[in-house]
Amino acid sequence: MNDACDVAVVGAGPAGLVAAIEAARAGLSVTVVDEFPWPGGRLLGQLYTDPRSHGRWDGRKISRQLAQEAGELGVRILGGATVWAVGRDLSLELSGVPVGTLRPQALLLATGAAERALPVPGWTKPGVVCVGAAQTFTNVHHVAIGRRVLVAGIDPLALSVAMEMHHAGVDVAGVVLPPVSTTSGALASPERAVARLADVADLAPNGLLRAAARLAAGKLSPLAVSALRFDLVRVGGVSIGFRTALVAVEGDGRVESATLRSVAPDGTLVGPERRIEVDAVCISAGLYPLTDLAEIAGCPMVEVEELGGLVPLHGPGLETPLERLFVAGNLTGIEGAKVAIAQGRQAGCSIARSLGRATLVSPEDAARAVSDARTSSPFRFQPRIAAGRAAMAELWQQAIARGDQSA
Amino acid sequence: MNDVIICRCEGVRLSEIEQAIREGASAVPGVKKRTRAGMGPCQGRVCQRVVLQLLQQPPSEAGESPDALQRSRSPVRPTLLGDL
Ligand SMILES: Cc1cc2nc3c(=O)[nH]c(=O)nc-3n(C[C@H](O)[C@H](O)[C@H](O)COP(=O)(O)OP(=O)(O)OC[C@H]3O[C@@H](n4cnc5c(N)ncnc54)[C@H](O)[C@@H]3O)c2cc1C
Ligand code: FES
Repeated sequence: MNDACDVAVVGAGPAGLVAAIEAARAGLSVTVVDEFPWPGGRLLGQLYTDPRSHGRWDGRKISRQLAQEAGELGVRILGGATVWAVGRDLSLELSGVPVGTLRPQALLLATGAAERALPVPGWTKPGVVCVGAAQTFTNVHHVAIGRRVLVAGIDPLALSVAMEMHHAGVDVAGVVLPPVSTTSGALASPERAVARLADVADLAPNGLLRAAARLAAGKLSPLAVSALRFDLVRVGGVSIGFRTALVAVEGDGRVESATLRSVAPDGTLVGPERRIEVDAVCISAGLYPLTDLAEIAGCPMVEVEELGGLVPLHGPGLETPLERLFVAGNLTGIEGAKVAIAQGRQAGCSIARSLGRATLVSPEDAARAVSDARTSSPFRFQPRIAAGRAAMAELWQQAIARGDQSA
Repeated sequence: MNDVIICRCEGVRLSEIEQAIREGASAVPGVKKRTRAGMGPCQGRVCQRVVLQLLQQPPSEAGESPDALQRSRSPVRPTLLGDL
């Protein structure tokens, strides 16, 4: 069965849902498709206290509200629909639902992010999970990934998921550095781990700990880190081992223990191995934009390390060089959900204007809302995100000067 | 024990990828053609960035340039033949 609509959105995460709402408000017919059965994307797993908005950030509730608002505006949401191809005419090939092909006038890709893998001996054993899966098990399905869990990777997401598991009653044996290997590179340095603490300092559940985390992150110069006598810092009831790394996971058929070693300030392993008993290991190695559909749509890709790696080239209104193809959310750079929501609104307005519709929000206001959301986010996934956004603006200007922009 | 699996889908180990690099693979597609790493159901979503890091030892300026990575192809997800 073929189907026509004004706007198709791939990804029912915060960016896609909010864009759909905005486009529908401008009077357009919108279809949102997502391979997951329920709308919400990565919002579904998010549950924490957000000190900046003085309340609880309940991603499931926000997802429900957005989906309901979209529904009331006549947006069609197709869950369990996987997009396996995008044509040059922006048509979408779907699998899993009776609709075979969608033929929209304009297309928004809001496919989010994927997780980086971090191979360590034993990482394919049952009981080793990536941090996103741990978050989904804990907050969406309310299932503990193990009785005693080790978290490997010291970054905002790992720390937040470690605290979420701790609050859910899981015995978190500790958060340690990821394995030191050819494949983890800079991830395994104590210096870098301490620096990343600043990016999550606001999440610590009480003021004292927040202050401690900020102090640890701000005041500890690299020199101080190398002088760090102590290995463990406790944040929100979870021990963080800045000088300890995971070296292997063992077990007969499933995870039974993990082997750890100390790490010198320069990142090299020192001292004897020690083994701790755990029945699950959660690995976090960072996120990268999920660009597969943007690539096959023919959108030029550029590498901007500060945004998380390879991203589709896009302009200040989230337009791409391809006419009527737009991008939003984590696909354009790894940031928190608040930014994705603001970007969704911006993309929805840009799409409406590209199809000749008036919008309530001006392009300037929509852009300002994105930077405001960035400032008020409790999370910073990419430490130099503002530099990344500036680099993209520069690349876009260069592309326009070369004349590759069709719009 | 140290010969860790890098591509889970195709069961390709570190030593096989290092061998491919010694044989002259200079980017992800070259490793893919020699070892099948990246050809599994996830289409390299899990292993591709790791393979790239192995190729770039020591880490190079090139980073994740489009040329260093494999190109996405449709179908981008495992798809039923009936839906094609
Ligand atoms: C593991 C993980 C944990 C995170 N935790 C947090 C957190 O705690 N707090 C926070 O602020 N941010 C978190 N983030 C960042 C998060 O991605 C953003 O907060 C926000 O959800 C991004 O919104 P989005 O709309 O861009 O993408 P997402 O919310 O990721 O939604 C993208 C959607 O696109 C769908 N999709 C992708 N490809 C296809 C396809 N081919 N066919 C059909 N559907 C497709 C996916 O199923 C998904 O539902 C996390 C990200 C990840 C990956
Ligand atoms: S892990 Fe290599 S193709 Fe899936």
